[in-house]
Amino acid sequence: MKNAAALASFCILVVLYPWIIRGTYPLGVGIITGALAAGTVGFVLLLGYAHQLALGQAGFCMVGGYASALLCVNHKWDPLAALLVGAAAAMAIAWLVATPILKLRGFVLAMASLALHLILVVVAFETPFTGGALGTYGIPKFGLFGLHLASDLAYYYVVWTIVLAFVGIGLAVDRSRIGRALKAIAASETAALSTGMDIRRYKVQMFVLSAGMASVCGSLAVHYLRAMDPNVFGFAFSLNFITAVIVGGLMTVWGGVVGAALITGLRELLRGLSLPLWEGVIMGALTVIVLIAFRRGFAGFLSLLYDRLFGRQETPRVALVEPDVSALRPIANAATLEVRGAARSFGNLRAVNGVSFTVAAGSVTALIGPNGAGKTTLFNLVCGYQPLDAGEVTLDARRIETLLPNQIAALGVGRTFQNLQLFDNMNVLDNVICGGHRHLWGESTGREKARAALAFVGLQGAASLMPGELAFGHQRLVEIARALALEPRLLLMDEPASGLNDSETERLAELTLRIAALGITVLLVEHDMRLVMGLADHVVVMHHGEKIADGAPDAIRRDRAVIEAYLGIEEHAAA
Amino acid sequence: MRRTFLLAVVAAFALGALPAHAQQEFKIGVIASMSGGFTGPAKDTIDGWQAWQKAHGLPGKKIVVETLDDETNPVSASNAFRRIASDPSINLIYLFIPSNSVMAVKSLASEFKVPIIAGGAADAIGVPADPWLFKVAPAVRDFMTVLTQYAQKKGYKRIASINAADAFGQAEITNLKALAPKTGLQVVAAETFGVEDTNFNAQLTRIRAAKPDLIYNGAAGRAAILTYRAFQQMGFKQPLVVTQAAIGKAFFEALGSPAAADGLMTPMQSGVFGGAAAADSKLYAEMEKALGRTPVYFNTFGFDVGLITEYAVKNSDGSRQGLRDALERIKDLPAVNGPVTYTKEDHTGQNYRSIIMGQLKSGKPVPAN
Amino acid sequence: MDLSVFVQLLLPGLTTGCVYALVALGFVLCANVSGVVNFAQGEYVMLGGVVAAFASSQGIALPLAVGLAVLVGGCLGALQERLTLAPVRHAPDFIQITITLGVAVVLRGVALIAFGKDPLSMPGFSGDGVFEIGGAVVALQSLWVWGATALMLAGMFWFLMFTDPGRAVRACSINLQAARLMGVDAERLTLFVFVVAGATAALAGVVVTPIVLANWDAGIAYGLKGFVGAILGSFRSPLVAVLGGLGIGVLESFAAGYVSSGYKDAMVYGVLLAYLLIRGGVFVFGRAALLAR
Repeated sequence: MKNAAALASFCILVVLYPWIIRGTYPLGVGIITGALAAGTVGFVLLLGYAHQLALGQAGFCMVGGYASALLCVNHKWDPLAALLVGAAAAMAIAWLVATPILKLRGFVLAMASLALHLILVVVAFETPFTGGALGTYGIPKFGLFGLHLASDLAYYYVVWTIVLAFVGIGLAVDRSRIGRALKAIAASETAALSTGMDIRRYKVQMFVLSAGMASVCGSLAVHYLRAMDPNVFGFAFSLNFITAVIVGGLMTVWGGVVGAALITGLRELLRGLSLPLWEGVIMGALTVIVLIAFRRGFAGFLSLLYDRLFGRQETPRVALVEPDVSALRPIANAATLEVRGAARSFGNLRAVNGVSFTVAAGSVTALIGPNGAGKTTLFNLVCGYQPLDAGEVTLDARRIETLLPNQIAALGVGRTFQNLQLFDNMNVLDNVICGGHRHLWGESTGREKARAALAFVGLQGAASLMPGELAFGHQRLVEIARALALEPRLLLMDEPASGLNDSETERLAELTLRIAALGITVLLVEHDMRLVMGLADHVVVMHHGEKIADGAPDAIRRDRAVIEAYLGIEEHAAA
Repeated sequence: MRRTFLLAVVAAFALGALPAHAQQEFKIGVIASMSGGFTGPAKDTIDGWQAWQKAHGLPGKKIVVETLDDETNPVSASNAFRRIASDPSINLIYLFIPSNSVMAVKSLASEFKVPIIAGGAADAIGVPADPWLFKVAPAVRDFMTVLTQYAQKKGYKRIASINAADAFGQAEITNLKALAPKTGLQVVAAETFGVEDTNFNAQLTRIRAAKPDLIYNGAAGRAAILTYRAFQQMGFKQPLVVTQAAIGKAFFEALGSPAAADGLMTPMQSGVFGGAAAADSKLYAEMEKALGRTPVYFNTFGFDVGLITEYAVKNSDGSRQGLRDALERIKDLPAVNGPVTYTKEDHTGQNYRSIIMGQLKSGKPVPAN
Repeated sequence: MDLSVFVQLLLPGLTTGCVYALVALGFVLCANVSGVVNFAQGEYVMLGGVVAAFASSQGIALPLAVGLAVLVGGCLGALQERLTLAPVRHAPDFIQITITLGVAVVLRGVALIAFGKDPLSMPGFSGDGVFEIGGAVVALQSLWVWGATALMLAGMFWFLMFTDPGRAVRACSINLQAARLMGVDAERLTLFVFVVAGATAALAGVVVTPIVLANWDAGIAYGLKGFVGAILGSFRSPLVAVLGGLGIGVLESFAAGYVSSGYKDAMVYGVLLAYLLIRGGVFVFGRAALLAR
């Protein structure tokens, strides 16, 4: 709805602009704005969606610019073909660079892309075929399918049609499972991994896509400038990209369009006021201020305005109803988990030291131990969040200890977190839909499956609420629903009762039993002895990183070592 | 001053007595680097041009100037040009911007059909000629010609060159390599550096190893200061020739005093030497008087731009086409730096005959012996 | 090429490398304590240089000019942290990092407006003379650069190893979350490292100014090459970062001297890219690569 309004105003403004503000020069400004917007739309996907800062985005503009310049001037290519070749080349380079680099954490891509850009500048300077420092001149006007676009007005409309297409691509990404995954990644990488999302893959995809769009930006700009040299797309141009999307708004592709227009307008204004020296200070200050004070930028402001004018207040709905036990179907292929000799040290601390145990298919197994026993570390080793120093983990006899968390999740291993990891930037239903990410379901199937999982935990009424609007105990249920939407064969629950009151704990116990009744194998890391003893078929006890006991609850209760290490203390305290 | 002017305007309106052609406006669009790396030269150029306006001007015409900044950036130059050129009231355009920016405008010139008088030293600005774009100062080729001729005169056989990795530097080295063999000169080292570099030891070490008789240093701005200092520190004894863009206030300040650069050579347009050495000493005197100080190089360039404008306006109907045709007819027009000539094929303007190898003495250039 | 050429390339390379090393150190300190990569780091070097050069050109005595520049660096560091980072402490990392980039742009712009675009020069602390070593000629000021760097590194070492805040910084570099939980006052410590990083960068800028001059646009190059050094130390180890910075300075000089001056920068950044590609696991697959840092 909001997008339709944005689209309508976009089209009206773009179509009317040349007729309202007449003249060759304003038209030129319109073309340059359009070319920039083609790049910034992609940059929103990179910075706003994938949260990757790239300081060398102008490097991809160079690729497009030189492709168009050299192919059209030296080889008389069709401009459109040159543009496409440039975009393909930029995307190929981006893919080659980003694939390994995005495996590294931190903000390495920012500098790597800048390094790439600077290398391209040096190459453009030093190689003869680019025309060296003086560049390539006499680039023809743009044309389509052999049709020469003599008038700037026609070119203006072509440029903005391309921008519109890019906005369409951006909106499609936003609505696709990739867009949902990116939002999930932005909210919590840890939780995104637990649903089987391949974080790196989506970030690489956005980098590649934005590189292609930046290249098109470069091509469109040089057909207007009619000249290309290594200075045209310098570091300042990369900064333009960053400032534009931040001022325009990071959270929506419209922000790229709005930002491109605002930045170009501001630059023209400064030039009119003869204040170009101040440009750096003003642009930098704008970036800082918008990021601190109003992170959604100008597009966000427009969206708020729209809500204020046309939005309706939604009435909060009753959240919890009786769970629908029949919402999920039982499974027949529960998984067996086996851990053999798992070990992990942090410096001198042996957090997990040669632990072995088996979680039988369809069982409810509990992993217990006093604080600092190494339970959570072991749990993270099993889910793939930390590498093992030694040992094996197998799922149905398949080795999984070298797999990444998302790969393990994709095998049908769901998990919940001790400190809640919900995606706070999307509503409850979308949170749960994310759980089904690995299945490649269509939008409606995903929605249906998510509703079923919500019904199973009794939260069907909360679907459209934001997680933050729910009580803490209900948020835990959402997390479990998300793990169930994965259709797990093994469900790992990390201290699910922590932070719950008695009645909530009781509900949780019932829910766990219902999950077990579906045939899903459950591994529970828990503190709460009553919960464990009432639920588990099998208990594993850890102490100081080692397994000290393993058996049925009754046997554990009587185990001397366990009593000394753990139960004794608790019962002592209780007494 | 302003009051008198206002009074004059009011009087003129009230009386309606002045003949119409006396008030005719001649509108010039100026694209100049008012920010970025080329700011200094652009400002000096405008000062020189204003000196011309004071000394000569366009009799019977009121000159109206509209100035836009190119931020020393080709994209902005191209935008600014479109903005000015699409204004139908503009008769003539000046480009006081560096070579790349001029080249960016050159690819648009024929589209807008406005006569343009441009700065910049790159050879490609003047040849091949764009019908609408006229360059003034000699090209890099001409400066390098004078350098090689000087080397030949002095009997030097081995020359080393160090240039910035920019359009200017690339043009210098390309031309030097092409011209050197004609005068029996061998280019034994051709080093480059980034404009933002601060450490030149590597390049100088290689130059020293190449054992040149003569060294050409194309650095300007900060790099000019740092390279010159490095040449001194490393004890180079060979004669050193620098580009005229290197020498300026910041250069002398950094060296401590103008005398610290004594003996440094640079090929310069004759106007800089002033007095008898100037190509046209009468014009030089007029310029000096109007400027009120000793002119620096870009002042003389600005003054010559004025002189060319003057000829074109005097010998045409003042229309865009008329001005262009008049410009192309210019033959040996006297100017401060040397005669200006345009042909259909060559729009360079002045050539190597307007350049003299100079030598610094207490911060002032004198012709080298 | 002989030994004297080697020395002639090595020593000035080390001098520039000292600046990169101090910048790299600043990057590592700030990143460890605040979790933020401060892209404005290189601008403090530039500011130190222009402030000291401007002050000394106004006739202010050298020690005072140096003090003033260091003070400006430290204060701006504090201001940057208080005004632009403290309010967004809980924002996603990429927001905080982008903010530091905006700050860098502002600092450059302010320097341009305040000090103009011409390079500012400053006399060497003990004259503009040179000395000869191993057949190579080196500016006397280089001794000041090396000395000041050594002194600052020694001070930093003492700080990190033997003082409480220093131990806290090291704790943060091992595990930021844990250190905060263990009662490290992250707020104060963050402010502190920004001041230290700003002041050391400014001092580095001052001591090299007699050799390289001070220019409003020099910050990017310092920041970038210091960043390369910091990356080599994985943003963890101050020692590796310092060695990395020095190494980049030397590599740059050798690349220009032995290979080609035109491709010098391409080689430095090429090394960075290659290092990242290899670290990122062109040849590494599996869990270890993802979790290496």
